[in-house]
Parts: sequence; C-alpha cells; structure tokens
Amino acid sequence: MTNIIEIKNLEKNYEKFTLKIDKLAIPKGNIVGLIGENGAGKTTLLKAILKIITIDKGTITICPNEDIGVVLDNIFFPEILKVKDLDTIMRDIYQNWDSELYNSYLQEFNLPNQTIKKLSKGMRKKLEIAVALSHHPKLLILDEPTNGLDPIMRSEVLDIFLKFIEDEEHSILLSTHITSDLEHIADKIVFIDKGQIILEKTRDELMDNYGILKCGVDDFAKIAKEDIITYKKGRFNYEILMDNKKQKQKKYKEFIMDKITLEELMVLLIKGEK
Amino acid sequence: MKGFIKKDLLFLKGSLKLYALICVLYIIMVIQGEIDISALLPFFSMMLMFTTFNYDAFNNWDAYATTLPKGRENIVKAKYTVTVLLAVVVSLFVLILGYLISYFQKQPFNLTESLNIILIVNSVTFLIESIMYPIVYKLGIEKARIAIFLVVFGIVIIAGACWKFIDFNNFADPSHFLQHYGAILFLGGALIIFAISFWISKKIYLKREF
Repeated sequence: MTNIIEIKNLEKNYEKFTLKIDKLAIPKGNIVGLIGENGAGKTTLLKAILKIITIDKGTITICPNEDIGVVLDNIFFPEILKVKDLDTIMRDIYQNWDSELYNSYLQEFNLPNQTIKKLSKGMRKKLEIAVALSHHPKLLILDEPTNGLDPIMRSEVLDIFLKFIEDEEHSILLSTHITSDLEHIADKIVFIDKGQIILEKTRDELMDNYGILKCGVDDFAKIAKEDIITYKKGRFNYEILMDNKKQKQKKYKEFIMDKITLEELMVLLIKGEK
Repeated sequence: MKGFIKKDLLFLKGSLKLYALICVLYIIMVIQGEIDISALLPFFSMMLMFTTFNYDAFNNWDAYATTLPKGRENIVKAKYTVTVLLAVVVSLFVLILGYLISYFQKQPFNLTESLNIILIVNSVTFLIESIMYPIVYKLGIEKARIAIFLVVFGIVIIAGACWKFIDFNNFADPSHFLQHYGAILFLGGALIIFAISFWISKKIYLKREF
C-alpha cells in the first residue's frame, strides 16, 4: 500500500507552541481522523500539509493541489458571491472541475442559488463540501467538515465520504471534534496533544485494545498501578483507562470493563490523572 | 488566473448597485458644477479594490485560495490585473459620461483635457495602489488601514506642496509640455512602479502564512 501523504521530521515553531511530527503517513484508500483538544495542533498540521503555513524543518510529500479537495474551518469564499458563482470561478481554477457534478451536489444538499451571506452555517458547510468534491479529487483534507450540520445531514455527508473512499486511490484526512463520526468511518486515528502525536492506531486496534474499568472508591486500591494508564475520580466511583482490555477483564473479574468511545479515550488521555 | 479574476469581477458586479448610486450622486454634482466626475470615479474604483481585500480577509479567503492549484502566484497576478481592468473600464465610462453630460448641457466637450485629467488621476491611483498592495499583502488589510490613510494623506500633501511651491512658469513652455506629454509620461512612470509593486507583492505573498 502506498501513501498519499508522507511527513518526516516536521517541525513548526511558534513563540509558545511547537508542532513536532516525527513520522506520519496517510495511506491510499484510508480515512484518517485527527483528534485532540483545541490548540493541540490539528489545524496547524493540516495547514502545514496544505502549505498555508511554511515549516521550519522536515519534509511533507503530497499529491498536487489539483488532486486535493479542501474544507477548512471558517475559511471560504467571500460572502457576497452567489452559490452558482463558485461554479463560474472554479471551472477556471481546476482542470477537472465538473459543473454537472457540482450542480448535482447542490441539488442533493438542497442548496439554493443565494449569496453565501444568506446561507446558514450548516448550508455553508455543505457548499464547502460540494466544492471540495466537484473536481474529482484523490485526497480530501477536511477541518471540522461536519461542524454545524444536523445529525441527518451529518450522516449523509459521512456516507458521501465512505462512497468517495470506495475508490482505493482515494484518501481522506480529517480533523474533527465530533469523534463519534470517526468511530463510524475512520480507518485510522491519530491523536495529537501539545503539538505531538501521542497515539496512532487503527480504529479497530483502539476499540479492541482500550477499555474503561469502573470500580468503587474503596476498590481503587485493589488495582495494580502498572495496569492504570490514567484515571478519573468520580463522586462514587473511579473510571480507569486500561489497555489489553480482554486480559485486564480476566484479571479484574469483579469489576466492569466498559467499551471505550474515542471521546472518553481523548478525555482520559488528556485530562485523566496518572 | 482567470478563475481568480472572475472572483473579483463577480464581487465587483455585486457592488454595482452601490457604484450606480454613487455615479448618480456624482452626476448631480457635476450638473450643478460642484465637482469634476473624471477625478473622483477612479478614486472610488481604488477604494472598491481595497474592499475586495476586505472581503477576502473577512472570510479568510487567502488561506483557502493558497490551497488551489497555482493559488499563490495567480491570486496576486489576478488582483493587479483586475485593478488595471477596472481602471480602463472606469476611465472609458468617465469619458462617455463626460461627453453625454456636455452634450445635454449643450457645452463643448474637451477631449484632450478630459483625457489628461483621467490619465493623471489614474496615475495617482496606480501610485497609491503600488505602495499599498505590498503593504496589504505583508500586513493584511486590517493592519494596513493606518498605512492606507498615511499613504493617501501623504500623496495629497506632496501634491499640494508641489502645486504651491513649484512655479511651473519656470519651465520652458510648460503648457506645451504638460498638455502633450506630461500625463502620458506620468502614467508610464506610474505603470512601471505598478509593475515593480506586483513583483514585490508576489515575493511577499509566496512566503506569507495564513
């Protein structure tokens, strides 16, 4: 399997923040989800990949801009333009721009030909997605692509992403706070914290490997320290993040080992006590 | 580049109503003899170009545009091209309007004088834009606002000072020189500076982060 993006020894320094990615590869045919709290470096990483910002060290190998579809958070066309104006503009920017496909997305997303200013936040997001898909890209780079969409629309958009990925030459790199979206579609999860990758695994590996052990306050002392990755103390119980879920479940038979969600994993890894 | 030019032209099309309103106001002022329309409309066009930067900044368009094929190079090229296109269109419009107003007022239309005024006013706007565009590309339109004010104010002061302190009678046959070559030479010089400005803006924009 070849990669559509390859990052090596990337470094981008700001006064109070450094993005440092030693190695990251986005394989063809995969959906890779970037997660992490606000300010962790997700958008900086996407901007570096898209050359919106320069990097101080390292290399980023990526396909040409012609093959990339982009949705960025709070970044788009001037609001005074109309929805159909984007077709007029884009057909002279992308060689592979497909007006017919763009119009079919406008219909599918129920987007009227109004000025962008008059569109709701969700409609704007749909428009951004329509533009990103209408030049037959091989790679989609999406920053919060489902932000502002209602659950039904979100589900439809996720289906479009899954359909896009049916072609094994296609890939998606997306950052989102709606981690449940990634549980449905992502092949691989990359967890960024304080500018560095702290976890990079396939979705199945994460879901199969990690679990939350729940025990009462008095029982917490019975848990071996080396088995605890992080924990969160509640009013009446402890939630303990563990790996090797099946093995640990056997070891602590008297307690409940719950399945973990990406959101819980994120919160426990970042905010959990050690 | 065509796509980026279209983007700005579509934006300007969206501002046509405002432009038309201002034209009507100017026409009324011209008919009342209070103002010369040929001097003001090109300045208004310049302000319109700056509003395209404003809209771009408001929607963070530049960050998005840099991700498009040949984005960085073509964005700057398109902005300078649209500036020239707008100047040409507005100049023709001003000439036609001036002729029509003269016709309806049953007064003779002085083409040479109108052309000279248009060329000089366009030269001044090109000079202002030549200074401003690289600053806007470097600092962003928000931070460049003060610079815009200072540059416009500075050029007006310099022009005023020239008018007051230079005795044009000292030049040999000044009327002949100014009437026949002055405006064209001024515009030529302004366009050369405009081309240098484009080169500087491109250098700045290729390295700019968003």
